[in-house]
Amino acid sequence: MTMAVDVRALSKRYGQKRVMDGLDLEVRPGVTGLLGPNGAGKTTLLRCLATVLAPDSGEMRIIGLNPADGAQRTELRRQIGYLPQDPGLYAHFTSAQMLDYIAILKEMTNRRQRAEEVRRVLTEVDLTAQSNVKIRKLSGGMRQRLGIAAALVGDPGFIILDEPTVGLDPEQRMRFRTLLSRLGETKIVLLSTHQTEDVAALCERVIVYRAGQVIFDGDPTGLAWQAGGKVWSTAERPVGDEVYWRTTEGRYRVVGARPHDGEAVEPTVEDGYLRLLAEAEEEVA
Amino acid sequence: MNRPFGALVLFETRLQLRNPIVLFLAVVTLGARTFTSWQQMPNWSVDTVDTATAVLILGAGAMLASNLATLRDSRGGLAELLAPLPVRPRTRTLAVLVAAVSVAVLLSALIMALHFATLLVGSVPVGRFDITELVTGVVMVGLMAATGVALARWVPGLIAAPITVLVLVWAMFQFPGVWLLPVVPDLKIAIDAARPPLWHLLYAVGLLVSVFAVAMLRHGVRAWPGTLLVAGLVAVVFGGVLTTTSPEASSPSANASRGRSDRLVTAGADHCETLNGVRYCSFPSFAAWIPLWQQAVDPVVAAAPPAARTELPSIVQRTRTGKFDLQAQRTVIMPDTSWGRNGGETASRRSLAAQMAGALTGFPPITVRETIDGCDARNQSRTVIALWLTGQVETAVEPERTHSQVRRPDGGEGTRTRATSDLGSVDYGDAELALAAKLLASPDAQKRIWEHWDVLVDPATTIEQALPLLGLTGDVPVEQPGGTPCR
Repeated sequence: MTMAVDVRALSKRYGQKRVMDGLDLEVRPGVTGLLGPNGAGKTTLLRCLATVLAPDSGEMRIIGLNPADGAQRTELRRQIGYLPQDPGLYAHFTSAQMLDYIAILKEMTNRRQRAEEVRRVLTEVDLTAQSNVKIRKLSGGMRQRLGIAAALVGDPGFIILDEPTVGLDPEQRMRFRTLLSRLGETKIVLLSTHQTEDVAALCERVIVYRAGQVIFDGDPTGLAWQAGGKVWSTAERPVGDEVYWRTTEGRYRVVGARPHDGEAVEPTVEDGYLRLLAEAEEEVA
Repeated sequence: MNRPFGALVLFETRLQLRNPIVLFLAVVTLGARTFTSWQQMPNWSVDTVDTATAVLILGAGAMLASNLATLRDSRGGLAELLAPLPVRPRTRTLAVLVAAVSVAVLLSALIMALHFATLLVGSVPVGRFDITELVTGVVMVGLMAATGVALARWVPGLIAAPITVLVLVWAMFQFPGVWLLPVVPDLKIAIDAARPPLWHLLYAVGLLVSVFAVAMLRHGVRAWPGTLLVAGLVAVVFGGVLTTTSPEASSPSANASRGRSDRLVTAGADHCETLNGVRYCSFPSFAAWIPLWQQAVDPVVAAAPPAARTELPSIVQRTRTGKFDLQAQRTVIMPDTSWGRNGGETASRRSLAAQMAGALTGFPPITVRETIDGCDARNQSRTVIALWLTGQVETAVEPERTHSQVRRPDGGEGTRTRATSDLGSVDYGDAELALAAKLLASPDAQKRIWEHWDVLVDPATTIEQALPLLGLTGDVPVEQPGGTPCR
């Protein structure tokens, strides 16, 4: 099994809107973050990689398999774990039932092995105590963790997670980062997120995606330095068009042109991401 | 069998077996059938049809449960979660179909078996047992389960299955005699009415197979669902045509409508036996009940003096609707096609014993009304004698009285009282019952009654006149007749 995802000239449009426009992409084992504004096309890309959606054109080679071929697509689906943006879980199942059902649909036919696998993934997401609780009684965060567990059933080689940390509290998010870090050692993990701190903490590689195009592909440090020399701390509120926000110290953090009393500060991933988007907006304008 | 498919079928089967709708309606079906039949002797001709009809309740539950199970993967975003999984939607549909139909068929068969086991408790079954009727009922329950799946695939929406259930219920009531319904209701006016032939089972199986195929065709036209649909439709057409054109479908019993018939109520009661001087005639399939009737009649006859037994009425079974032979009515007692058990036999025995007692003491037969309001036998000694004769089998009970407002001929308003007792539309009071009880406790009652029989059964003899003949005193005040005295 070739542990790689190769995408060539992938395109997809909805009506007049191009959400993927000749996209080229390579993903290797490790944790890769996909950042981008709403409507950029991230979910469409993930759905195509998960074989939920067929692209209009282009080629994909996922773990050495071609999803355009029926037989290879079925084989590929045995190797994919997918958490959609809104994981629909059947409210009348218990957590264990839901995962058992997913396991069967992943062709795990041995009942004892399925039970062990269900226990394993529930432990991974710290939901063992809720294994016999109906899903309708779980909190939003618990349901999200259950969705993550569903993606991990069968120990897939390619894990696709769309907004996985939504609804997780800080402790759960830390636990999730630990889990992903471990998975990334041997598997291809691609996660889409708005949480730049998750990207900074856990991704070896970041892809910034906007309007169907990749506008950055590199490591988090490189993304942060997109705002190098353009991040300032000032006591007065800026008056121009720069991006800024008020910090907990009561000062203003500005990304862009130096305000008149601004002090240079080290950029973060978020700064770099915002700077990149701002520059892309300027180019379009 | 493909192993993921097998595991999926087992998973869905466990869910169906634990479905609260299915379990609840299974219990309701079995409970309702057992409750309504517990005190009735089984008549296989009727009970097979009624049971096959009753399990359609379970069928409704099976339809709802299978519909919900199939809709599961299209609700609330679950479709997105399942889309990239190797087991495809058509396999999931097939698994639900197999599981739901299997559970529905097995549960309905189990309910039927349990119910028929309860029917055997304390029973003397009569009628004709038609296994085909039951098998067709089971197939129809499976059909309803398959319909739930097909609806979920073709008309996804939670309302479709409940609406379909209501439509089917409406059709059953609207077209009760149509032989293409799941169960053709029993036509109770006819004994051993013609039932649908074996072709009806073929028709039912054809429907099941067709709906099964339609559900699968939602995932695209493929060889085997298409072939299955063709085979199913052929069976439906063949079976349907042969059913509706069968000799059974055109038989008089099949065409007779409820409540209206030109047949005599006793027509067909051709199995006759004379036992201890009484002639018993039953419908051929009810012959097993003649000993039960005899047990309720013999003690009454034996308690009457020999001179009174020279012209005993015949016991001739009747149906519940139809015409009466007015000439014959006064010489026959006509038990119908029901008899009690598990406590219900008391009323059946008492009714038959009272009718014989009434005949021996000169009361009009239960099937004849002297007047619209019946008659009043209070303060007649023959009433006491009739109740004493009845008590040889079962203790007599008070009449049931209903009161209604009527307009009198003079324009005023009055109250009309109608009494119904085991003697017919004959009213009597507490005094008569009390005196009969005293007679039953008196060791020389029979001797006195036989000695003064003709006087005691004379309608003109009052209770006051009878008391010294019977060696009794009257502790309960005797009421005078309120309505027309019995002649």
